[in-house]
Amino acid sequence: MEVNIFIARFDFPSIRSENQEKEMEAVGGSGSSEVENDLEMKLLRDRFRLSAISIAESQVSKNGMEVSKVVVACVADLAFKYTERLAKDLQLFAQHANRKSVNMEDVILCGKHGHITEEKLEFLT
Amino acid sequence: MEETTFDCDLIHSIMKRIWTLRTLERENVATNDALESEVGAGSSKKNRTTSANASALKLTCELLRVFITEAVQRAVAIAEAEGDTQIEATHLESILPQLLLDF
Repeated sequence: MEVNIFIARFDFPSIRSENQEKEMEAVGGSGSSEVENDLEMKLLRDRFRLSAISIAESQVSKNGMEVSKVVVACVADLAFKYTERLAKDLQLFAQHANRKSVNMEDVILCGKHGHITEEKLEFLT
Repeated sequence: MEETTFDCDLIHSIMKRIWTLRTLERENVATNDALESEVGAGSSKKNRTTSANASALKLTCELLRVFITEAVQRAVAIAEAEGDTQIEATHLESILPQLLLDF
């Protein structure tokens, strides 16, 4: 289950690098471009993690509490994985509607997956 | 009232990266079938990369911010119920299943 994987990955950097190497071997293809994409993705991921961490910490301080570093790093990592999933779903929704660009409707569809109620959606739009 | 949120350009570049990677994968599959050595960029409709609307991008940033906020608020609730002042991994563990199901 995904949950166990996330919980076990509290020391995620070492584990993820191993998985990435295996994935790259499996995909094959032109080795250098794969590595380039990976490096740039790592850069984007680090920037994403920084902003995610700042958002999380500001939220925590609003409640007057503290948060441990492991938790904040884990939340940032979860958010990044969610972003990847979201990107793939958005692309699929746009393609299904025979569109090349992602629309508001696609994002709303992705948001409707879970608990986000009509009110929150109206507030977001 | 100040509020930290994600940079729209950052999210946009991350998404574009994932989309280009996916279209490249699909191109690789297509070229393996068609025995072509190279496929020109944008030569066929399916191979053009997806892009994002400006307001869709803003919505996505907001959605991600809400994800993090939900995770933090739920963990805070658990921690307060237990009487701790610091959010630990155990608090995060208990909210994780429901959070992943909701999003």
